[in-house]
Amino acid sequence: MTEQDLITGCKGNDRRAQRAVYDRYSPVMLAVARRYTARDADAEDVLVTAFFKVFDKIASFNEQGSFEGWIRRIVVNEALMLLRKKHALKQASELDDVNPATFSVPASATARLAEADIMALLDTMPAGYRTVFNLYVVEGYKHREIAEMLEISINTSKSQLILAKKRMREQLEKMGYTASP
Amino acid sequence: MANFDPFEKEFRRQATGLRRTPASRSWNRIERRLDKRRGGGSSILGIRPWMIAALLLLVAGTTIMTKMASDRNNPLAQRSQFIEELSAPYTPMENFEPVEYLNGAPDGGEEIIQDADFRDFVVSREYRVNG
Repeated sequence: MTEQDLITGCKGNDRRAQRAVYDRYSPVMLAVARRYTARDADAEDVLVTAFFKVFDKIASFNEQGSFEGWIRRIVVNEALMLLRKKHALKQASELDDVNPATFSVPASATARLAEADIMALLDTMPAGYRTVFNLYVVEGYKHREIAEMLEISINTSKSQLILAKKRMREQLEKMGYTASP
Repeated sequence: MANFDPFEKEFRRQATGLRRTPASRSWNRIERRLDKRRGGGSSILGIRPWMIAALLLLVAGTTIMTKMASDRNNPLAQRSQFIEELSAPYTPMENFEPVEYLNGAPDGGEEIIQDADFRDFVVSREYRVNG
Protein backbone atom coordinates (compact mmCIF):
# COMPACT_ATOMS: atom_id res chain seq x y z
CA MET A 1 0.00 0.00 0.00
CA THR A 2 1.35 3.41 -0.92
CA GLU A 3 1.07 6.37 1.43
CA GLN A 4 -1.61 7.85 -0.82
CA ASP A 5 -3.64 4.62 -0.58
CA LEU A 6 -3.35 4.74 3.21
CA ILE A 7 -4.52 8.36 3.35
CA THR A 8 -7.46 7.62 1.06
CA GLY A 9 -8.33 4.55 3.16
CA CYS A 10 -8.18 6.56 6.37
CA LYS A 11 -10.41 9.24 4.86
CA GLY A 12 -12.93 6.47 4.14
CA ASN A 13 -12.70 5.20 7.74
CA ASP A 14 -11.14 1.95 6.55
CA ARG A 15 -9.90 0.20 9.68
CA ARG A 16 -7.20 -1.77 7.83
CA ALA A 17 -5.74 1.46 6.42
CA GLN A 18 -5.83 3.05 9.88
CA ARG A 19 -4.02 0.04 11.31
CA ALA A 20 -1.43 0.18 8.53
CA VAL A 21 -0.78 3.88 9.23
CA TYR A 22 -0.45 3.11 12.93
CA ASP A 23 1.96 0.22 12.29
CA ARG A 24 4.08 2.35 9.98
CA TYR A 25 4.39 5.49 12.08
CA SER A 26 3.75 4.55 15.72
CA PRO A 27 7.38 3.51 16.56
CA VAL A 28 8.72 6.89 15.39
CA MET A 29 5.89 8.80 17.03
CA LEU A 30 6.24 6.98 20.34
CA ALA A 31 9.92 7.98 20.39
CA VAL A 32 8.88 11.59 19.65
CA ALA A 33 6.32 11.53 22.48
CA ARG A 34 8.83 9.93 24.84
CA ARG A 35 11.36 12.72 24.24
CA TYR A 36 8.85 15.20 25.67
CA THR A 37 7.40 13.14 28.52
CA ALA A 38 9.55 11.73 31.27
CA ARG A 39 7.40 8.60 31.69
CA ASP A 40 6.72 5.74 29.27
CA ALA A 41 3.05 5.61 30.32
CA ASP A 42 2.61 9.31 29.50
CA ALA A 43 4.21 8.77 26.10
CA GLU A 44 1.76 5.93 25.37
CA ASP A 45 -1.15 8.17 26.39
CA VAL A 46 0.10 10.88 24.05
CA LEU A 47 0.46 8.32 21.25
CA VAL A 48 -3.11 7.03 21.70
CA THR A 49 -4.67 10.50 21.81
CA ALA A 50 -2.58 11.71 18.88
CA PHE A 51 -3.41 8.78 16.59
CA PHE A 52 -7.09 9.05 17.47
CA LYS A 53 -6.90 12.72 16.39
CA VAL A 54 -5.02 11.76 13.23
CA PHE A 55 -7.87 9.45 12.18
CA ASP A 56 -10.58 11.78 13.44
CA LYS A 57 -9.21 14.86 11.66
CA ILE A 58 -7.83 13.13 8.57
CA ALA A 59 -10.24 15.12 6.39
CA SER A 60 -8.34 18.30 7.30
CA PHE A 61 -5.04 16.91 5.93
CA ASN A 62 -4.70 18.73 2.61
CA GLU A 63 -2.08 16.30 1.22
CA GLN A 64 0.24 19.17 0.28
CA GLY A 65 2.93 18.54 2.87
CA SER A 66 4.41 15.40 4.37
CA PHE A 67 1.94 13.02 6.02
CA GLU A 68 4.55 11.96 8.57
CA GLY A 69 5.26 15.61 9.35
CA TRP A 70 1.54 16.25 9.89
CA ILE A 71 1.28 13.29 12.29
CA ARG A 72 4.45 14.44 14.08
CA ARG A 73 2.99 17.92 14.65
CA ILE A 74 -0.13 16.37 16.19
CA VAL A 75 2.02 14.18 18.46
CA VAL A 76 4.13 17.17 19.57
CA ASN A 77 0.99 19.25 20.23
CA GLU A 78 -0.53 16.43 22.28
CA ALA A 79 2.70 16.09 24.28
CA LEU A 80 2.70 19.83 24.99
CA MET A 81 -0.95 19.65 26.05
CA LEU A 82 -0.13 16.86 28.50
CA LEU A 83 2.77 18.87 29.94
CA ARG A 84 0.54 21.93 30.28
CA LYS A 85 -2.12 19.83 32.01
CA LYS A 86 0.49 18.64 34.48
CA HIS A 87 1.75 22.23 34.92
CA ALA A 88 5.20 21.00 33.96
CA LEU A 89 5.97 24.06 31.86
CA LYS A 90 5.33 26.69 34.52
CA GLN A 91 8.83 26.90 35.99
CA ALA A 92 10.55 28.94 33.32
CA SER A 93 13.55 30.99 34.25
CA GLU A 94 15.28 33.70 32.27
CA LEU A 95 18.98 34.41 32.15
CA ASP A 96 20.03 38.05 32.14
CA ASP A 97 23.52 37.81 30.82
CA VAL A 98 24.91 34.66 29.38
CA ASN A 99 27.48 33.66 26.83
CA PRO A 100 26.13 30.68 24.88
CA ALA A 101 29.66 29.59 24.04
CA THR A 102 30.22 28.80 27.70
CA PHE A 103 27.60 26.06 27.54
CA SER A 104 28.36 24.63 24.13
CA VAL A 105 28.69 20.88 23.96
CA PRO A 106 31.39 19.22 21.88
CA ALA A 107 29.84 17.52 18.85
CA SER A 108 32.35 14.68 18.96
CA ALA A 109 30.83 13.58 22.28
CA THR A 110 27.36 13.35 20.74
CA ALA A 111 28.50 11.31 17.78
CA ARG A 112 29.13 8.36 20.07
CA LEU A 113 25.89 8.69 22.03
CA ALA A 114 23.85 5.54 22.46
CA GLU A 115 20.08 5.73 21.97
CA ALA A 116 19.39 4.92 25.60
CA ASP A 117 21.72 7.70 26.67
CA ILE A 118 19.86 10.27 24.56
CA MET A 119 16.68 9.48 26.50
CA ALA A 120 18.58 9.43 29.79
CA LEU A 121 20.06 12.86 28.99
CA LEU A 122 16.64 14.30 28.23
CA ASP A 123 15.08 12.64 31.29
CA THR A 124 17.52 14.35 33.65
CA MET A 125 16.43 17.79 32.47
CA PRO A 126 13.49 19.74 33.89
CA ALA A 127 10.39 19.69 31.64
CA GLY A 128 10.91 23.31 30.54
CA TYR A 129 14.51 22.76 29.39
CA ARG A 130 13.66 19.48 27.71
CA THR A 131 10.68 20.90 25.86
CA VAL A 132 12.51 23.93 24.47
CA PHE A 133 15.54 21.79 23.58
CA ASN A 134 13.34 19.29 21.71
CA LEU A 135 11.34 21.96 19.91
CA TYR A 136 14.42 23.95 18.88
CA VAL A 137 17.10 21.34 18.25
CA VAL A 138 15.12 18.30 17.09
CA GLU A 139 11.89 19.74 15.64
CA GLY A 140 13.58 22.83 14.24
CA TYR A 141 11.15 25.47 15.52
CA LYS A 142 12.38 29.07 15.93
CA HIS A 143 12.44 30.78 19.32
CA ARG A 144 9.55 33.02 18.23
CA GLU A 145 7.43 29.97 17.40
CA ILE A 146 8.41 28.20 20.63
CA ALA A 147 7.51 31.32 22.63
CA GLU A 148 4.05 31.32 21.05
CA MET A 149 3.52 27.60 21.54
CA LEU A 150 4.55 27.62 25.19
CA GLU A 151 3.20 31.10 25.98
CA ILE A 152 6.58 32.32 27.19
CA SER A 153 8.82 35.18 26.07
CA ILE A 154 11.40 34.71 23.33
CA ASN A 155 14.14 35.45 25.88
CA THR A 156 12.81 32.74 28.18
CA SER A 157 12.90 30.30 25.29
CA LYS A 158 16.52 31.22 24.55
CA SER A 159 17.47 30.98 28.23
CA GLN A 160 15.86 27.57 28.56
CA LEU A 161 17.82 26.29 25.58
CA ILE A 162 21.13 27.55 26.98
CA LEU A 163 20.41 26.04 30.38
CA ALA A 164 19.39 22.77 28.74
CA LYS A 165 22.70 22.63 26.87
CA LYS A 166 24.59 23.44 30.06
CA ARG A 167 22.82 20.61 31.87
CA MET A 168 23.48 18.31 28.92
CA ARG A 169 27.19 19.08 28.93
CA GLU A 170 27.39 18.27 32.64
CA GLN A 171 25.50 15.03 32.15
CA LEU A 172 27.62 13.99 29.18
CA GLU A 173 30.74 14.42 31.30
CA LYS A 174 29.19 12.38 34.10
CA MET A 175 28.33 9.63 31.63
CA GLY A 176 31.92 9.55 30.37
CA TYR A 177 31.36 11.26 27.00
CA THR A 178 34.15 13.76 26.55
CA ALA A 179 35.36 15.64 23.54
CA SER A 180 37.92 13.82 21.47
CA PRO A 181 41.38 15.36 21.74
CA MET B 1 15.78 27.07 9.81
CA ALA B 2 17.91 28.15 12.71
CA ASN B 3 21.70 27.90 12.63
CA PHE B 4 22.62 24.79 14.51
CA ASP B 5 26.00 24.19 16.05
CA PRO B 6 27.68 20.81 15.37
CA PHE B 7 26.41 19.33 18.62
CA GLU B 8 22.81 20.28 17.83
CA LYS B 9 23.08 18.86 14.31
CA GLU B 10 24.44 15.60 15.62
CA PHE B 11 21.88 15.35 18.39
CA ARG B 12 19.07 16.08 15.94
CA ARG B 13 20.30 13.37 13.58
CA GLN B 14 20.45 10.81 16.36
CA ALA B 15 17.16 11.78 18.02
CA THR B 16 15.13 11.68 14.81
CA GLY B 17 16.34 8.15 14.22
CA LEU B 18 14.93 6.88 17.51
CA ARG B 19 12.22 4.19 17.39
CA ARG B 20 10.13 2.69 20.18
CA THR B 21 7.69 -0.18 19.90
CA PRO B 22 4.34 0.68 21.47
CA ALA B 23 2.47 -1.77 23.69
CA SER B 24 -0.18 -3.83 21.89
CA ARG B 25 -2.89 -2.38 24.10
CA SER B 26 -2.25 1.08 22.61
CA TRP B 27 -3.85 0.11 19.30
CA ASN B 28 -6.77 -1.48 21.20
CA ARG B 29 -7.32 1.82 23.02
CA ILE B 30 -7.32 3.75 19.73
CA GLU B 31 -9.71 1.23 18.17
CA ARG B 32 -12.09 1.48 21.14
CA ARG B 33 -12.18 5.26 20.80
CA LEU B 34 -12.77 5.00 17.06
CA ASP B 35 -15.63 2.51 17.62
CA LYS B 36 -17.14 4.76 20.27
CA ARG B 37 -17.02 7.73 17.91
CA ARG B 38 -18.63 5.70 15.11
CA GLY B 39 -21.46 4.26 17.24
CA GLY B 40 -21.83 7.03 19.76
CA GLY B 41 -24.39 9.05 17.79
CA SER B 42 -24.63 12.78 17.79
CA SER B 43 -24.47 14.85 20.93
CA ILE B 44 -25.13 18.48 21.78
CA LEU B 45 -22.74 19.81 24.45
CA GLY B 46 -22.11 16.22 25.54
CA ILE B 47 -25.83 15.53 26.01
CA ARG B 48 -26.91 12.37 24.23
CA PRO B 49 -30.43 11.88 22.77
CA TRP B 50 -31.15 9.05 25.23
CA MET B 51 -30.43 11.45 28.11
CA ILE B 52 -33.07 13.87 26.79
CA ALA B 53 -35.59 11.02 26.33
CA ALA B 54 -34.96 9.80 29.89
CA LEU B 55 -35.45 13.32 31.26
CA LEU B 56 -38.70 13.78 29.32
CA LEU B 57 -40.00 10.44 30.64
CA LEU B 58 -39.14 11.45 34.19
CA VAL B 59 -40.88 14.82 33.86
CA ALA B 60 -43.97 13.24 32.25
CA GLY B 61 -44.14 10.57 34.96
CA THR B 62 -43.86 13.13 37.76
CA THR B 63 -46.56 15.33 36.15
CA ILE B 64 -48.99 12.42 35.78
CA MET B 65 -48.44 11.26 39.37
CA THR B 66 -48.94 14.80 40.73
CA LYS B 67 -52.16 15.23 38.72
CA MET B 68 -53.50 11.86 39.90
CA ALA B 69 -52.76 12.68 43.52
CA SER B 70 -54.59 16.02 43.28
CA ASP B 71 -57.69 14.46 41.63
CA ARG B 72 -59.96 13.36 44.52
CA ASN B 73 -62.42 11.54 42.28
CA ASN B 74 -59.73 9.31 40.88
CA PRO B 75 -60.06 5.88 42.54
CA LEU B 76 -56.33 5.26 42.16
CA ALA B 77 -55.59 8.33 44.21
CA GLN B 78 -57.91 7.13 47.00
CA ARG B 79 -56.63 3.62 47.07
CA SER B 80 -54.12 4.20 49.79
CA GLN B 81 -56.85 5.61 52.05
CA PHE B 82 -58.80 2.33 51.86
CA ILE B 83 -55.75 0.31 52.70
CA GLU B 84 -55.21 2.40 55.81
CA GLU B 85 -58.86 1.97 56.83
CA LEU B 86 -58.63 -1.80 56.55
CA SER B 87 -55.90 -1.92 59.14
CA ALA B 88 -57.83 0.36 61.53
CA PRO B 89 -60.41 -1.20 63.92
CA TYR B 90 -64.02 -0.94 62.74
CA THR B 91 -66.09 1.75 64.42
CA PRO B 92 -69.67 2.17 63.24
CA MET B 93 -70.83 5.67 62.40
CA GLU B 94 -72.57 7.34 65.31
CA ASN B 95 -75.49 8.56 63.26
CA PHE B 96 -76.19 5.21 61.75
CA GLU B 97 -79.92 4.57 61.66
CA PRO B 98 -81.00 1.20 60.26
CA VAL B 99 -84.52 2.52 59.92
CA GLU B 100 -83.43 4.71 57.05
CA TYR B 101 -82.68 1.67 55.01
CA LEU B 102 -86.11 0.18 55.65
CA ASN B 103 -88.02 3.33 54.75
CA GLY B 104 -87.78 2.60 51.07
CA ALA B 105 -89.46 -0.82 51.46
CA PRO B 106 -93.27 -1.21 51.62
CA ASP B 107 -94.78 -1.31 55.13
CA GLY B 108 -91.38 -0.46 56.68
CA GLY B 109 -89.86 -3.89 56.32
CA GLU B 110 -88.03 -5.95 53.81
CA GLU B 111 -89.22 -5.74 50.30
CA ILE B 112 -90.30 -9.23 49.36
CA ILE B 113 -90.62 -9.99 45.75
CA GLN B 114 -93.67 -12.13 45.21
CA ASP B 115 -92.59 -14.36 42.42
CA ALA B 116 -95.45 -16.18 40.71
CA ASP B 117 -93.55 -19.47 40.89
CA PHE B 118 -93.09 -19.31 44.65
CA ARG B 119 -96.43 -17.71 45.57
CA ASP B 120 -97.89 -20.94 46.86
CA PHE B 121 -94.87 -21.89 48.98
CA VAL B 122 -95.37 -21.85 52.69
CA VAL B 123 -92.41 -20.90 54.90
CA SER B 124 -91.72 -23.42 57.57
CA ARG B 125 -92.54 -22.32 61.08
CA GLU B 126 -88.99 -22.37 62.39
CA TYR B 127 -87.84 -20.00 59.67
CA ARG B 128 -90.55 -17.43 60.12
CA VAL B 129 -89.44 -14.03 61.49
CA ASN B 130 -92.73 -13.01 62.99
CA GLY B 131 -94.31 -16.13 64.37
